[in-house]
Amino acid sequence: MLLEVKNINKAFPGVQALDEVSFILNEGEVHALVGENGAGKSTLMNIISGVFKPDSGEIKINGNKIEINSPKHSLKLGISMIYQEISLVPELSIAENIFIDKIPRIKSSPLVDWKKLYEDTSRVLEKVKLAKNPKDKALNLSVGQQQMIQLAKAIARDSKIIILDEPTASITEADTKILFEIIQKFKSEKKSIIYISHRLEEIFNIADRVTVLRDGKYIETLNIKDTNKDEIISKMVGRYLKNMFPDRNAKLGNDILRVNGLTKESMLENVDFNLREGEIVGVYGLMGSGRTELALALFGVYPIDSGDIFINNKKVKIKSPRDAMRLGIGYLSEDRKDKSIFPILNVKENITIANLNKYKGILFINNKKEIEESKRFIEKLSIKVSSFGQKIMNLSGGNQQKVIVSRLLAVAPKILILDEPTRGIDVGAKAEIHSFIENLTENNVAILFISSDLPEVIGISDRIIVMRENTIAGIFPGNQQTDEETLLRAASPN
Amino acid sequence: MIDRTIKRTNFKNSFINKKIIQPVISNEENLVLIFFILIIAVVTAILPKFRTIYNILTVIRQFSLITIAAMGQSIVLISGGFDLSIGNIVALSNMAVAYMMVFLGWPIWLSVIAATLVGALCGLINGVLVAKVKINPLIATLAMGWIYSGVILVSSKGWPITGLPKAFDVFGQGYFLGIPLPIYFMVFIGIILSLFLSRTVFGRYLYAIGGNEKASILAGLNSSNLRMLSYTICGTLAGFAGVVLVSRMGTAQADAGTPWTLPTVAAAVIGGVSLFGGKGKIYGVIIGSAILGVISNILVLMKVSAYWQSLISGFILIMAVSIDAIRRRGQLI
Ligand SMILES: Nc1ncnc2c1ncn2[C@@H]1O[C@H](COP(=O)(O)OP(=O)(O)OP(=O)(O)O)[C@@H](O)[C@H]1O
Ligand SMILES: [Mg+2]
Repeated sequence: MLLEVKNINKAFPGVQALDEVSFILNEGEVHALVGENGAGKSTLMNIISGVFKPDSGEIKINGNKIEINSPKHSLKLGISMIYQEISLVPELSIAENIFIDKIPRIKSSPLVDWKKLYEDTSRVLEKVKLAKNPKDKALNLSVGQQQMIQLAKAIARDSKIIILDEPTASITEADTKILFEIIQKFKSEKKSIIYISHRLEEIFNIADRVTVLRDGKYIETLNIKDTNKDEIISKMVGRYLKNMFPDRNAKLGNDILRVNGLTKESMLENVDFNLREGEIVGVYGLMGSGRTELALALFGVYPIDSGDIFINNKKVKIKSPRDAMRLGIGYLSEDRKDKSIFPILNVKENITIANLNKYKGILFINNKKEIEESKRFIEKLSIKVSSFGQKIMNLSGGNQQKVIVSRLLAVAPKILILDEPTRGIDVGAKAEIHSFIENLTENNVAILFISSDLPEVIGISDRIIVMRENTIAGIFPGNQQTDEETLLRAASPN
Repeated sequence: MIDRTIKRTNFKNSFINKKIIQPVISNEENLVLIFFILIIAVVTAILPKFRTIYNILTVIRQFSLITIAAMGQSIVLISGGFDLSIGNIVALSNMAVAYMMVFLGWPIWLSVIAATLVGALCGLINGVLVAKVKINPLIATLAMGWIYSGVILVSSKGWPITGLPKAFDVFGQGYFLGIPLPIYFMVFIGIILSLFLSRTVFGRYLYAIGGNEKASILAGLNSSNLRMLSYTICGTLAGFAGVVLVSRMGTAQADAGTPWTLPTVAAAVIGGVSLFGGKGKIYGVIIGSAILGVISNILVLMKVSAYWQSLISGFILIMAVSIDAIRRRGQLI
């Protein structure tokens, strides 16, 4: 046994996040940690990595009782955590980010040994298969690449325990594959991995054992070989779950959105497609294929260079998100922390901010109306909050996402562009969001559903657009008619 | 057995902690209020002179004008900006109102309005530079502050303007029901701004752009217009404070109000406004400003040399931000 946590308790104002949780991590194992949003997974890992102090309980490493004081201390003990919300210093180089706490010096002078720094960095970058110049700033890295940098950090430190909090939530299949190879390599080096994910298929792919948490309580630890997906889900949610994807009942109407020759320098090239009322069109592509750029162009963040956009057969110009919203377009960003949440505003304020005018009386915001509307969403999406006044930054990742989805739905757009809407959302809630989306389409809302989760794209879309190198590589039928292999092949560069 | 009892008492302690103490101290404004009440309690106990109504009104009158400016500063801070020119705007409108009455012979009411608008215009210019031209707010307002004060010095050569009409005195020196008018101004503006920030759509928008500008743009807010609005409100309040200041002093000095810039920031921060934007309440700012005002009054009453004042104000500022920092310490991220 390598790491043992015993009877850990941790309370935050209004919630008991962890209640007498115990679990054991063996040497050389991949140990999955699953549970619904807000079950306490991240909190438990934050305790192990020294971010939070537990209210009570003990932690043992190799049988020795240890009190972990800070992330630095935890690092020293050989524990590396790759956070759910990534944190690199954008203005520093990749090399400096990786070696941030142990930059090599020339002899023992205070001068930085740049040559060694860059060499060491190249070495670890190679291990995570990231072809980047160590001198580049971290600024322009995509979410997936940032994750690889964090892994490189763990490798550079030669950590014995590596904690991955939803590492695949925001990266594509190709990177997931690389990630799994790295994990296998860690395993063969007798390192232990704690792996948090809401994608259960992955767990069967990679984990040896799985521990289930529910409402801050330890439920059970199972051997992967002796269990199956349904059993895990039922332990997670405490009930049986029927169908991940809803039956499609929407009637397809006229083209609500048509796009001709959409072009934006170095982002989009000649993109043509249409979207019908009540239709769900999935958009799949590898990282950097132009999926998000397409969304941002349609939403007016990157006004286009050439090409035409028609809404209800009328040519429109979209120069800003405000224009887009006026035309009935809604957009959900893939980057929750940086571009979606208002961290210090509360849950209610985060839900209503995009259409506050709806709640306005003559002069003032009608607090009662605001609360009613928030309540409706909190119930509808079963968002786990202790009160409306709770700051959104104190919610678990998945619950934050549900709040942002609520904000978007509150605006009642006719065209919804969803960029990774179920990122970091647990199975139960995922099914709820799917059926919610299906309900919207029954009211003629058209959906552009961007996701890097293949089973999800295939399960929910009527048609699937595959993007590659800033343009459309193909359009495929959805509703389970196209297999993962085909889409992946279409998305990969030849 | 022993283990269990320990656990139970722990639980009880943490219960009191969570349910009663936490909500009180997790709210910055409450903390400042408690601190303020403590100061007042101690002072009234040991300094009989402080207790007189006359003294109390004088103190409040003294800090009322800088408080009006501080409220403007807070609006800018909450929306994620900074105004280093605020003191110079006070000075400019203070000279402007005197100039209009004395040299241009404008009627009082017109001069008051026009000089306040001069402040608003300065704020608008700051806003354009920060929000449209996208200059860093510290640099933009620092430079504009120099320019505003340059305008004064060039046109007045540093001379004060005297000979203001008698009737103009009422703004700064008048009383209503035994209470000085500037106090009414402060309270009235405070109430309006409080309602504006907490109850109106635009108020909420200012918190939003201060809290996360990118998210606010994606939520469809016009962040650059909102930012200009915040600077314009700030300039207007500074302009008005400048006008009342002349009335109280009886003459317009070229540098009146100039030293207020950093104290307005201090009052805001002591009152719980975040320098990173997105957070703060008007009543906190008023208390923050009151704390600074009362302390300086205490020093006067105790006949402590004025030189001590900046020393003590510095300590209070450090204390205020430390409390915030310490409270955040448990939560590394
Ligand atoms: N800093 C905090 N302050 C207050 N409450 C918090 C804080 N961090 C977490 N919580 C609460 O603790 C509970 C557990 O949260 P945690 O982040 O551990 O969930 P999780 O299992 O990681 O969920 P997800 O799958 O959504 O990431 C939630 O109810 C959350 O709201
Ligand atoms: Mg989490």
